[in-house]
Amino acid sequence: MSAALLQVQNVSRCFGALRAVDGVSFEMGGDEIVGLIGPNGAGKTTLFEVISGFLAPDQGRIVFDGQDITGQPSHLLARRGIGRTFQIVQPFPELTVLQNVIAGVVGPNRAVADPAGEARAVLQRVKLDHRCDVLAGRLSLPEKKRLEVARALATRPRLLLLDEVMAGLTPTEINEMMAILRDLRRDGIALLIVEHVMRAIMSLSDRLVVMANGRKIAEGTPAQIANDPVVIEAYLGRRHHGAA
Amino acid sequence: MGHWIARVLMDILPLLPQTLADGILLGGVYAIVAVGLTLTFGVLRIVNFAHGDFLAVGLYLTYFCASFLGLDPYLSLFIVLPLVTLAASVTYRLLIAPILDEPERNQIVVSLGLSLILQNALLATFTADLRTIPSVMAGRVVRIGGMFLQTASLIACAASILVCLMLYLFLRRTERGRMIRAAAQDRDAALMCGVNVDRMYLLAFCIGVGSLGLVAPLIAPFSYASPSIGINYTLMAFIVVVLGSMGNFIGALLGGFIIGIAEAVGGLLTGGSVNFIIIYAIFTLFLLFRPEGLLGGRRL
Amino acid sequence: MMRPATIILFAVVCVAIPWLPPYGQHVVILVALYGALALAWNILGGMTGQMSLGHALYVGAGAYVSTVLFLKFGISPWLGLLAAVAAGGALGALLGFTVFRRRLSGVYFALVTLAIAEMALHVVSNWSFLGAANGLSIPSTPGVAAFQFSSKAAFCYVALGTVVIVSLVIWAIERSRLGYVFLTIRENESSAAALGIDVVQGKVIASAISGALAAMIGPIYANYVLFIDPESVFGVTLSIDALLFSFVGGLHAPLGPLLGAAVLVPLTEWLRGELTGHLAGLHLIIYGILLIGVMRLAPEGLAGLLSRLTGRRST
Repeated sequence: MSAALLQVQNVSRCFGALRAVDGVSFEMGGDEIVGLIGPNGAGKTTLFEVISGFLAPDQGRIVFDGQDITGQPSHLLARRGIGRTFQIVQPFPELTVLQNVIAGVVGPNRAVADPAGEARAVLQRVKLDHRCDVLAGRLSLPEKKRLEVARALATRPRLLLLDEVMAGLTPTEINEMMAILRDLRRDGIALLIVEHVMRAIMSLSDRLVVMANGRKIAEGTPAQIANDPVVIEAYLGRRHHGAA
Repeated sequence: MGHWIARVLMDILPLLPQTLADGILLGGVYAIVAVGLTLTFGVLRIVNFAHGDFLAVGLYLTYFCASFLGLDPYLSLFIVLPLVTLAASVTYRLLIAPILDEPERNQIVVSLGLSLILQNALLATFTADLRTIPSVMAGRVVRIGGMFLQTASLIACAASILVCLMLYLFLRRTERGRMIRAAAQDRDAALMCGVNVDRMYLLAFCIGVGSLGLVAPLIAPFSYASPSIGINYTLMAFIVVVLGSMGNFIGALLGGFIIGIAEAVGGLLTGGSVNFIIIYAIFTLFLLFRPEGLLGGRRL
Repeated sequence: MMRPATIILFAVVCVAIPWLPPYGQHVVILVALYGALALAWNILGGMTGQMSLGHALYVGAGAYVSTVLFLKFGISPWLGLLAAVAAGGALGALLGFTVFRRRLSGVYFALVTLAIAEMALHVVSNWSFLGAANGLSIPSTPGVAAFQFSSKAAFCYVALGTVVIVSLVIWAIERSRLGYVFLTIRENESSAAALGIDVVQGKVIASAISGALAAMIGPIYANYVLFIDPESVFGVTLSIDALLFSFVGGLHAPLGPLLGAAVLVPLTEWLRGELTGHLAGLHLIIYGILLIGVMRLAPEGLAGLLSRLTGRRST
């Protein structure tokens, strides 16, 4: 594991009396795929929102590429190289697929020679280039999910946060998405994935971080996590302890 | 400087009680006009820029009843109120319900269009002349202390307080009211609990806009009918709703009184239409720095 | 936007102007001024998704800045035009900066802009230096230097020139990153932010550009009519017209607002001529019906309908 690209240090975030994220810490390197799992309401999406700058933490720090980015707004983090997708897909409905991705190319405000060309290349990677001129609002759900990934990719991220990209996909579509994601590692993009589709996240991830009730309850390889009684209990409840 | 203050005190102080009274009475009118908007916009989040124009329609109906049927506004109230409520329900079915799920700007545009239609239909039918409406209460004045208060104004103000309280109790204490609030807060959850969301929205919209059918006859004796008063009342109503905190009926009362007093006292202290500058400035400042209004609670 | 048909049509109009009767030229001037205003409004409204109900603020500011500079300080209206643009841009930036940082949008933004425009109207109405409610008259001193052209035709060209300037700005925006900034803000703010776009800054820039361009209308109108008063240049009717023409013409089409003005302004003039007396408000009823009709049946506006007829899609 190379030097940590992302360091989450004792991050907490409350909503009124609810501690959505409670003292979570972990690290990941620039060449890793890390999966973030846990039962519903564990605080995974909230943690995503904090890391990507949409929410500020009440406590703790986030360090990205050696820089303290705690509390910085999302657009600045996107320019630094943190990309994200949204749990409920949010394409730009009245823009074409190509325009959606071009937005990702030019968004971070760096000099780009051929935005349209770059956008097309990204679309080829997610196999959406045949739908370039279709209005994004008209796409099917799996296509919208791929567009979401493409758009985030276009910003040339170092770290990509993927929030349930597999939800609602058929098994075949899941396999396709998994292939696309594995491909990304070869370009040096680290992935932090929240996912409920177990086989996907177990197969993709180098490591897993498990959250429950806002806290991190376990961390390790998929094999370690699968047999961890604490994790099993969190998912299935006390009575199933040892039944796995 | 001291000389100026003395002069101001001498000229203005004696007029202050009457002005304050006028302001409170004016505020009562603003409050009762705004309370309907508190329900439709504050609770239901329906944007309706034609709110004031329904009041104008009500005023013209009152005028019609007075001129052609010889009915005093306090009697024609029983005709005008149902008619305006009917207009509200038709408006809801045809214009509002179909676009409830669409972006807010569509509601802005549709209600602006409706406002244009209503305003100019009234203009075409009745011309731009201001119409006064004859009533048994017109011109009757009550004297309290050194102040002269129009009887009809007092009645309207009392009605205003009553209506605000009634709506507050209705929303808070009755089954229907709870259903309306549920439907407004979370449509899907309310549906799953068996609330007929569509019906509740219709009911609330009809109460909110239909209330103007009550307001019109009440203010007819001391007001006038004109096609263009709609938009003035609409803007004032929005100001009162924001000031009084969204969805808060007591707040609407409070906000109404504050705006009324600001207009009256502002008019006394400054000349021309400077008092309106003050009111709009207050509104802007609230939107910018205290959007939750005077009484706090739900944010925008 | 740069379709050959558009350019040819424009060229035809330019050439035809000297041959039109004075009333026809007057209509061209009105179409051009309203069209330019609607195009300017649409930069903030249709492109960036922030519906302003108070754009008359900029027209009025431009008109009064230029007129007061001329009447009280003898400054040429040509410079006054530049001052108007600067004033409009500054106002737009200030308003945008104050309002958008507070996350005010949608109906609240509409209300705030309405209130601020009304405030401006009342401020001017009560300020004798600015002529108060009686307005300001500009003495007739025909001559190019005084921005008063002896022929209506000249005013036509100036007004059309304004349309060209605003259109060029829109064209430039569309081909640059700024265009994407505006469009993505309109479509989905949080997604835009996730792509590195500073949403608040984008809105402020849109407001400033929109205000600066809208302010151009003021001086031209002032020197054409030779009289301005608060109601005519700050009135809410003007603000609603800007929204109306853009909406009917097509919010998402680059020249949609111009199309809306080109259709509705002559229609209005014709109706106003045909119907007098208390039927004078009839054209506004039609506006109202159109607004609702377009919104429900043809949300892409006239431009969208046109595109569908000619087989192209407008974005």
